[in-house]
Amino acid sequence: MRFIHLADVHLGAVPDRGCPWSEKRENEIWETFRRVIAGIRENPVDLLFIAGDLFHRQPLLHELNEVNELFTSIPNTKVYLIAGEHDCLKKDSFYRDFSWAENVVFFSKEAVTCVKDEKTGVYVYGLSYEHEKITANLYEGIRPAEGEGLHILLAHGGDALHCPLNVSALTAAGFDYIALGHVHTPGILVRDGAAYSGALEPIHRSELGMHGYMEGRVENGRLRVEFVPFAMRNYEQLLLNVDEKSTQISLEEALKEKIYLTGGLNIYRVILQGRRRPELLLIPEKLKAFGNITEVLDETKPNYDLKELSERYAGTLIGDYIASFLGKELTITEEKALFYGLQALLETSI
Amino acid sequence: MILKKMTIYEYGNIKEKTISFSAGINVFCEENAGEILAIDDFLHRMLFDTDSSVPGLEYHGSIWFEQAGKNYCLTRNTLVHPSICQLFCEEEQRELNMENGALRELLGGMSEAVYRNSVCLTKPKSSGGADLAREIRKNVQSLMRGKDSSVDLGRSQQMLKMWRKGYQTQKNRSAKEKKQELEKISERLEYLELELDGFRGKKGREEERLNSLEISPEGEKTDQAFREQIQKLQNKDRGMLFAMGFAVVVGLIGFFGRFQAADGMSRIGMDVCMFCAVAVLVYAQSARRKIRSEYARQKKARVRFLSQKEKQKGNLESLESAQRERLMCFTNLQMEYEAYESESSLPTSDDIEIQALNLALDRIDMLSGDIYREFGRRTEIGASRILKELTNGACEEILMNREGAIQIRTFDGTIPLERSGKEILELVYFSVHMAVRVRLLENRQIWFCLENIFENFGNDSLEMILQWLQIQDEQIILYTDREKEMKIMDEKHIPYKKIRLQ
Repeated sequence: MRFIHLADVHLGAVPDRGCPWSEKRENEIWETFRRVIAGIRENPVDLLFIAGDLFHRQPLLHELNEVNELFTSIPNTKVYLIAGEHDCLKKDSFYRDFSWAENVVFFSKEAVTCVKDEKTGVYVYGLSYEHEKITANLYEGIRPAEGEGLHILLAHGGDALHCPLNVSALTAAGFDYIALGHVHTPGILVRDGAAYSGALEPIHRSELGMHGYMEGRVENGRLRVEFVPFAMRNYEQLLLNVDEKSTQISLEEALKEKIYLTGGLNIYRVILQGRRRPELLLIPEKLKAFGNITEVLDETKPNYDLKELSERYAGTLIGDYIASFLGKELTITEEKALFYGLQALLETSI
Repeated sequence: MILKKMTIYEYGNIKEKTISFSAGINVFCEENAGEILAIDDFLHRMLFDTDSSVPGLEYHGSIWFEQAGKNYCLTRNTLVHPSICQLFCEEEQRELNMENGALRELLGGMSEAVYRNSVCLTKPKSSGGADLAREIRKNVQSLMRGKDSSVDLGRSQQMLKMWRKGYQTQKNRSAKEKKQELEKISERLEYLELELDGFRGKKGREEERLNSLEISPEGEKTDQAFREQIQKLQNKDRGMLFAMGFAVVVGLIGFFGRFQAADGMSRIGMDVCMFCAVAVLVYAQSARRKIRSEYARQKKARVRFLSQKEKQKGNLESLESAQRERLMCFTNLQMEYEAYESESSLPTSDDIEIQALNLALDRIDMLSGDIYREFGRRTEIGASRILKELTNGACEEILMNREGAIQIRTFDGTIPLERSGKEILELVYFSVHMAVRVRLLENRQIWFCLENIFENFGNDSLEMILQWLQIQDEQIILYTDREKEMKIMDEKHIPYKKIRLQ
């Protein structure tokens, strides 16, 4: 028996709205989902679990038709689907009266129900969101039904506002695998027993690292689950170290090389760190031209010896200026203000 | 602190030189300005050890000085590695720990910047007129608001504002992009709203059409009317059929009755019956034909009506479904708009930079304001006093404001610095710096180096300054490349020590 567990596909999402690649990303999310189905068509799995938030917003009828069409193309795979907080079953949701293909089981209630898969003998449990927020633990106290076979729970949420759940308790209750959704970063909570598959494609710049789905198989009577990277691109954070020798050009070259090594398709957030020559005028915006870069954060500091400077300029404006900042924990803004002011006062000195 | 002696090795053009100083006025008279500057530079670096690690700027020498009744010898040698730095107290016959800031302690905690602004006075760059006035004004503004003549507050603030403008432009650009994106969504929302309005109109029309199909001109339900009409026709047909059956019976009675009738009258009666029966049969047959044709017509019309009604219903349903989809799309897009709007309102990295720059500007402004209030005002009073002494009361007061405007109050009234004569300008320059020196040094005592500052001074100014310096309890080191100062001092019997490097 083999299954794929995915979640948080967020079809219809427009990541990085306003960036040149955002429209492309919107299509890529659909494309990756289609690739998953195409992969199943070529190498069928018995079960496909979608643990919520298949859609970013309320699905439109034509979108449901398209997804259903895709599911129809994998008749040998039984699809189990729940709705999450993003595509919850609102009163007017198209989910409510949609006729799914024969191989699709949609959990349409906000209470855990169980369906037995006749072909594999797997018991699948799940519930769909009818509200955007669920503060009650709807999974509390549920136990697997009596019966031979694997018991797999599809669950979405985990935080205080989205169906808080206790994974350890559910595992202890006897579920063989808990296919989780809602957290966009993939993570195995219980080895071969519970995992967040993460978003199939990252949809926000904070979702760093690889994305994909979980693949499970029963080997020698034991369930094994592993993460399969599948996303077209990742969000990555690039740290560029700046030192006394750095120049704008050397930074640009270093960035180009790092992007080349990490992957040109990926989307980056660049952070400049280190101590630079005080007179070096960095233009972080210029770095954005070297790849898909959402943001360049300049955390560099001019290489000033504050102690030495405060001694040298004690009793004058510059000394007073340094002293007014020192001796307390500085916020980011204060630290930046200290260096900005100091640089301006020193650089314009006659 | 009184400088007693200094020994310099291999510094600038000086190979080796030992110079002794008097506690009063010392005059270095050298035509070579480089050598004069080297002495001043050497003293500065001996006390503050600046740039000693920079190749080519190494130095070696000693200075002997007196501080609080004790004699000290400071020796530095940065030509060797590791460099040597010793501070020796001759009375106590022990070396002091420089690491612990012994020299700084002897200097009364004086910083290098304070030394630069209080111990060394260089000559103005401009020789006179408006340029000198401008230079003095700029200099005074830096000193009044920053206690440091090297600080150019105006330029510093300009630089910070320029950086802020850069970030502001970046922020505006990004805000504009976000606004454009929001407008795009907004346009799409408007378009969807129009579509929804269109759907509403279409739906209304379709509903009207459907309702109109249901109502007959007489106000009856048309389908019902069709059914009633058909029923009526069926009843009529049935009536005709009955009439025909009755006529056949009557006809048959007439036919058989004619043969059995005994008299002629009865036979005639039977013939009439037969005739009537035939007439009824003919009429009923013709009427039934008409009824049947009408029945078929009505049935066809009903089928047509029903199919039209079904079609209208289908249209309405598909309209409703499309409208629902658009409505859902509209709601989704509205949520997208709100989400993007709230994300756009979050502070960006540009905001942090702008905040930091604003804070830097405010802090500099606040500190320079404090300096002006506490230091600048007192300096103004001190400078006025010195100028008054130097001019024997001809100039009563120097009036300075925070923006650097200077006015001189004399017996004849108040005149702006720009309109003052060269001599007054030179005296103002000297007075302000002397007052700054007094304020910066507070209770500390240290020599005063005047670097060729009287080069462009007129004889009268120079005379007044030298006489004034004589009565001050200060050790003066005067660097000059001319004999003029010494000539005046000789004439005025001002004691001084002449030092020649060659």
